[in-house]
Formats: sequence, C-alpha cells, structure tokens
Amino acid sequence: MFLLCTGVVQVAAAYGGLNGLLFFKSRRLCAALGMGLILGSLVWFFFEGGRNIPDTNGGIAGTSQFGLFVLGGFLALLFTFLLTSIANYRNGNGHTDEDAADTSEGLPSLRETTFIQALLNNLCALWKLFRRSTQRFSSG
Amino acid sequence: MEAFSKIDAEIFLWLNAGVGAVPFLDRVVQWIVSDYLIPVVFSTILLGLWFGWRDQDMRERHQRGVMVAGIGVGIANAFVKTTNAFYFRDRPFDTYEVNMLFYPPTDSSFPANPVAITIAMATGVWMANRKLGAVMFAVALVYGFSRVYAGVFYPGDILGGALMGLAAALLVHLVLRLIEPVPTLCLRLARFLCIA
Repeated sequence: MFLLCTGVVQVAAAYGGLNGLLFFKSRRLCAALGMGLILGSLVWFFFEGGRNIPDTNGGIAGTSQFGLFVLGGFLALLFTFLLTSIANYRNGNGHTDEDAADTSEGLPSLRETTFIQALLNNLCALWKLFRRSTQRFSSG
Repeated sequence: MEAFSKIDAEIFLWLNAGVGAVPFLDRVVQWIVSDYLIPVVFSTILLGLWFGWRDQDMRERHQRGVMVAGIGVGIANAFVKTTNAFYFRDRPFDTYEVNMLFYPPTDSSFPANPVAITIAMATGVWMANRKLGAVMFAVALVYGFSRVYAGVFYPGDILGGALMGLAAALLVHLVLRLIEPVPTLCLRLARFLCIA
C-alpha cells in the first residue's frame, strides 16, 4: 500500500506540475517511476499468493483494509514530503521567499518550493500576521 | 416480499449457472471479485484526484468530491452495519447448490457491503468529475454483479448495497452543504498545511 500510494502521489504530482513533490527533476521520469510503482505493487500483491481469503481465516476485514490504506497513504505522503524536501533543497529546486508566502495557496505553492519550505513560509506568514495584530492592540 | 425473493433467486441461479462455461471469464471474475482489487484501485483514484490537478478550481472541486467519497464510505458502512443488526439474509450458497468462485463469507448477504462502499466512492467522484464518476459507477456495478456470478450475493443485495452507498454519499453532500463554511475551513486548514 505504501509503494502504491507513493506511486500515485508521483504520478499525480507530475500531472499537476507540483515540482516540489517530485523525486527527480524530470516530470516524465517521475510519472514513469510512479506508474512502475503502481503496477509493480499491484502485481506483487496479487501474484504473491491467493488473496481470496476470508477475514475469519487470515484475510483482512473491510474496516482494517480501509485503516491500512489510510496508514499506507499517510506514510507514503510523509516519506514523499521528507524525501523531496531534502532532495529538491540539495538540487536547488526549492527556494524560500517568505514575503511572497500566500498561506491560502496550498498545493500550488509546491510548484516552486518544497513541502517543508512551503510549510515554513506559511508558518512565518502566520507569525508575522499574529505579531502585527498584537502590536496594533498593544501599542495604544 | 416473497415474490421479490423468488425473482431475486431466479436471476441469481441464471447468472451463476454460467460458471464453468468460459474458464477465462471465471478467471477474470475471480480477480474482479477480490476483496482488494477494486476498493484499492478506487482509493488510489481518490488519492490521485486530491493531488493531481493543475487548475485550482478543478482541484478544489475534486477535493470536495474526495471528501464526500471518504466520509460517504464511513456512512455507507454504518448503514450496512445498522441494517445487519436488524436483518440477516442467508447467503445464496446456504440455500442453493452454487458454483463458487469466491470463499464463503459468513456475514449477512443483504446489503452488499463492498458495493455500498464502491458506489459511495463513485458518487463522491461523480459530483466532481462526471466522466470519471460514470466509469467508477460502471466498474462498481460490474464488481457487484461479478460477486453474484461468483455465488456470494443475490442481485437484490447488490441493488440494496448500491442504494445505500448512493444515499450515504448524497446525505454527506447535503450535510456538507448545510454546515458550510466548515468544509471550506477544513480545506483552508489543509491548504495552510500544504496538503490540499
């Protein structure tokens, strides 16, 4: 599930132009890697052994299945955010521009910067806003 | 009710009688009816829709659809569990001689839980993306009727599950509209955290 979700995020980020979430500079390479991860993980999962097993005999019940998907997705996102933040920072793809931070932008900010930088930009912008508003009330 | 059960059983027996006639089709059905394939593929579609759009308006529309689908799955599951608490229907293989292509589940036949869940997901996506939603509806129905062919559900169970999934997603859509601006605030918070 982890590999599958990592692949989906790579394909989606390549399609959506979210460069800050890509493992490599080339979007095509990332899309190909993502497709490879998706197909590879599905083939691995289904060819590894029989999967039509009742949940009373070692299979996964529906609720657990949903929980595992959420866990796999969460871990895949965490892994992607951390790895791309490190890799793209080293590659020089990411740049910090605190003044230009628009906290309402969300994912599109990852076109230009990495996840950690975008998050830090948003936190800085919020802090500045908070400081400005408290100064206004405390000055008079 | 008895007449409905009789028709339901007749359709089931007619569909299930085809098992063994085309071995390749049976093999394909065994893949489709798996507990994992279609639900996992649908879940990955939701994940992809959340991230993979360039246009901000379209992305937000898709994210709202994913919200409806995700919460809809939970509500559909609750509908099914509540129904099961009051009504238990035997599986077809408990009553008839059936050609099985799947393991024999022990829970209630009505309503079909996997169909309720996949239809809830398809409905959420359909609200944001008509074409993709229509494809998902078609796949969910093929998934459901493959389970009838495989010998584990009656057609009425599929219909019941589909209606519950549809009702759950529509209910969530309605509630999210009623409690606006809560969903918008949730999306804004997710945007602040750079995950939406």
